[in-house]
Amino acid sequence: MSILNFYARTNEILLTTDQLKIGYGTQVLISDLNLNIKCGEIIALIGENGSGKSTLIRTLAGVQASLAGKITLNGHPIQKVDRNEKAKSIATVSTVTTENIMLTGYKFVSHGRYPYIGWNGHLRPIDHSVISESLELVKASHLAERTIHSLSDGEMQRLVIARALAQEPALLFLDEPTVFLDQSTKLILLNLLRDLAVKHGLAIVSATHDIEYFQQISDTIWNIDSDQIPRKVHSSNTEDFALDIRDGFSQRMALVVDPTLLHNRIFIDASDELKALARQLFRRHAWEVTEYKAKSDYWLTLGMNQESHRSQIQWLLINQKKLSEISGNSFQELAAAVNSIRFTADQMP
Amino acid sequence: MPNRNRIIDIIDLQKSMPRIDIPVAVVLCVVILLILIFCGIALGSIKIPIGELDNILFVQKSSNEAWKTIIWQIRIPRTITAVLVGGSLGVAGLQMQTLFRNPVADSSILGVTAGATWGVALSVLIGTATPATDFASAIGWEFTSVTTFSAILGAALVLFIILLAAQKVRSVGILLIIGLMTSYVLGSSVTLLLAYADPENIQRYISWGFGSFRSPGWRGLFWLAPLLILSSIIATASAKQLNAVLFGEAYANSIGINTRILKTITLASAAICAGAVTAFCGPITFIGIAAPHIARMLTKTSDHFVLIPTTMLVGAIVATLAEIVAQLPGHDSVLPLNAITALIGAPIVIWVLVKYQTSTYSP
Repeated sequence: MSILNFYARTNEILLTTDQLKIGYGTQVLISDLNLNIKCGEIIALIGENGSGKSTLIRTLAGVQASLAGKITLNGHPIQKVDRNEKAKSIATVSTVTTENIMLTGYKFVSHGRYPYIGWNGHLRPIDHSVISESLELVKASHLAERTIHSLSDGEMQRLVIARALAQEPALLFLDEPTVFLDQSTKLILLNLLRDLAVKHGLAIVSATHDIEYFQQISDTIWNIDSDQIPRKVHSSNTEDFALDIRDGFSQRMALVVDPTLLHNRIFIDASDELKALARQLFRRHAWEVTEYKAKSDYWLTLGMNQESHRSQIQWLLINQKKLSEISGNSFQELAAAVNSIRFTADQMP
Repeated sequence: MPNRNRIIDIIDLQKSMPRIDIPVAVVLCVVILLILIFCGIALGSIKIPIGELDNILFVQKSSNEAWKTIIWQIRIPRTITAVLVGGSLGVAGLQMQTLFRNPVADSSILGVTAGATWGVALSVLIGTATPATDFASAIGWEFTSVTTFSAILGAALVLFIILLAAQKVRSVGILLIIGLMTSYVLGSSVTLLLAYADPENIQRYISWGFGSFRSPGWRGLFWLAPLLILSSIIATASAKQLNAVLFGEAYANSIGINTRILKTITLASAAICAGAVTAFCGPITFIGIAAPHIARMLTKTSDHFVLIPTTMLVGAIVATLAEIVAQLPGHDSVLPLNAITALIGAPIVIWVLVKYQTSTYSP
């Protein structure tokens, strides 16, 4: 992955909103939204249940009308974009009930080609190749001949994403994609999303409660703060760190905060390049960086969090069991301790 | 998003492209239907030698003029009616099951059948008192035409209500309830009429309710056939949209389907089908619910591109078979059609459902 290339992709703005107000009828959920979505950007949308995450996604995807304000997709007002054209740039992934539905995985994914094909449903060679490619991207080619109701939640989730990719979108919305998945499947999904954003320049907006997972790959977090009415979305743009995070995630950089918390000390095991980067970063904050040899498969990654109005960085934990083993503390204690270590926005490099 | 350089992909594709095979079930259905159509023409209360059929059908000459009349004026129109009605009612049922995501839906769920029944009840039970019958007698129509005309008026009224509701109401669930409630209102007004009607008129009303593929004849087919073919064509043309709506309206919207138009078109075509059938043949029950289920079990898919033709064939088979049985070949009497469809069909549907439930199909 070339860093320069990555930045070139991220600079193009795909969708913007201007003083957007969302909700149903007279009930305003969020107002005055000025948001930007760039190519290759991953955005985690967090907030409590009922705070309007799904409504925001539906409104941005152009499926639900906004109450006021403007949404611009590729420079055109979204209401003026033709349905089919919209479906060619925006795809949505949400939970699918396969009850009563008998389709093969291939047929299921082929529905993603509907914006491109005629009324008779005839798939051209190019459609078949996009479908196969989408299945391959989510590593689900082996599910093509299976019937969808025989699949597990994780397998089904892959097909749903493949179906969305078959639309060849520039922008992918996901509504709680990790909700029924076990821990390892969640990590596979995150890797996939990151690859799609980094390698293919796909912009991804995902509503999620699993922020501890999503923080690892997100460039931006939109937090629907439930304290204020009308609620605001706070957007933190943290591109510089996103790169580190991505590398950290992909290269499995191991970072451990001194579990005793007696010293401002972190332990790191990563490539030389990353170690140098980490040193540079943490020395500015008077943190001592110590090398150590990570034991196989536990690691910590750097994540972003947005809390109230200030940008803050915090450490987050992955692989909870392994970490509590090495620290000797219970995970909850450790998590609380690690979460209390923060940098404030003005200290950010 | 995926790369556009596909020359190599397309060459690779020849191997990976899924086989295009017409399901064996469809071929089987076509064969069965052809046999049944032949039986429908050959069998009936009057025995006509099979050797003679050849002459009557292709040369249009026969030693017995009565036989020729029976074949051309009764059996052929009745078989054509059965095939068309069965096919289109089956597809209308499939449309409703998909749109309302309800396995026991059929076109009668819209209340259009109740509307047609209501129209017939008004004309039959009150006799000459309705504007429709006045109008009909003024232009010299006979009883069946009056019934048909009132049924069409009743069906059109409900169709209008449903389409109006479809524009106002977002949720298909509420639409379903509106249809059901309309049916209840119309049904109870029919009950009221029954309470005060002449026994003779009640008898006529009840026998109309038995359903019959013989009543339209060539004259009825002239009107019925285009309507049924139209509704079937609309259904076939919206197969892609129906596939999309399998996963909910929100999803269909997100892949560029205008679900509002789809809803309106689907409701209109199913209602036209139900209204026309009820007007000309009486309220034909069961086929609309059963045919889609049998088709799904035969083809093991929810893909409407496969399901719509199969449902048409299955519906036509069920209707033709029921008509043949109802005629009681060799006997003088005729059984009520609706009794036959459900009496034979329901156990078959239950048997097939129970047999397949464990493997692939659950309705």
